[in-house]
Amino acid sequence: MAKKHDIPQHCNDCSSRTEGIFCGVDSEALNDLSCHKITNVYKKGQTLFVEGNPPYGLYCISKGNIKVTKMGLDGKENIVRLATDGDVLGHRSIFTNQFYSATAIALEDTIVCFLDKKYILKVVQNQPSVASHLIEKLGRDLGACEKKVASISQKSVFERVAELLLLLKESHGTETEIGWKIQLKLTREEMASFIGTATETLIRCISELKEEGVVTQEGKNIIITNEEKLLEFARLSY
Amino acid sequence: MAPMKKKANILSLTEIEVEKIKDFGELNHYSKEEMLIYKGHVPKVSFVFLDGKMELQRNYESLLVENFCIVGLHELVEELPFKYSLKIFPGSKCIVLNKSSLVEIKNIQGGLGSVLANFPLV
Repeated sequence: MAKKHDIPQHCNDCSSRTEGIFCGVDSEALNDLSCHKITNVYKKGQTLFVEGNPPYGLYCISKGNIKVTKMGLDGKENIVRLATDGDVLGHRSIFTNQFYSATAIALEDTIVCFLDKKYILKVVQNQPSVASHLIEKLGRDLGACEKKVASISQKSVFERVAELLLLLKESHGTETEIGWKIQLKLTREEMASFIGTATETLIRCISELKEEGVVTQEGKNIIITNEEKLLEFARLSY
Repeated sequence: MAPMKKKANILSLTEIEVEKIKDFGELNHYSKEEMLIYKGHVPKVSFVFLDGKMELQRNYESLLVENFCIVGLHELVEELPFKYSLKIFPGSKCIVLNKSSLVEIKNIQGGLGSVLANFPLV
């Protein structure tokens, strides 16, 4: 969990330095970025930006986890994306000149760097590597969205739960003696909203996976003990 | 000046000064309630409040920000933590001044530049 003393003073000191859209910039540009960025620690539950409000700039996650949510007509919050170390948020609204299409909320204490709109547009123009990494990121995000849409329409809830656990294992998994421990603390409700199902249904599916010996639980953390079988259950095409 | 307003480094501007600032900042309309600055955070941008409802909050204290007041400017320039939380309510509008805009304002001759010269480095 991020603490105030973990705040990197310079972009070079950032633990996510080699990830994200700024990984290819030269040292001079990085010094300039470091002078312009504003870094804060967002506590769990604090919002970075709100759906429907105007954008100010780009948010770069140095350390921690953010959930990106959209409000349904029923007033329920649905997680559309999870962002972690090295990810950027708020970029689409800047380039499309539209209001934020979702709300970003810290899942835990998270170090976030902010770069204002004017500055980031200038950087994208002057640093081709930033532009190309941004395009790459947009491409990957679009691919992930298409996959999610296909999953919701083509897969059963059980398969979607299995797929979600594999996704979380990729982004937040740590290998332990008994399997892959998912380090991200999401409530069952949040997990359910991410895959578009009811909390009770998700809980039932996880229980079934436990009975199959595919997953186990250590406190609130889920551990994947049989990844091969989980892949079968998820019916992934790779 | 009320103690809370003074502690929060809020500067009141005239209508003419606000009109000049509009050229450098961005006019924003808020449709949702939002915490613009959290207590203890360095402001990402500063806000010139125009209309609607904007509130400073700390523990059990709260203060409504008056129209044509600039909030968060000193802390943004000096990279200091803001002593209050700042909340904006639906239907409000304000001008947003970011770091890049402040550099532009700093470079203009007299007029607006001299007004903002009360704050260091601006």
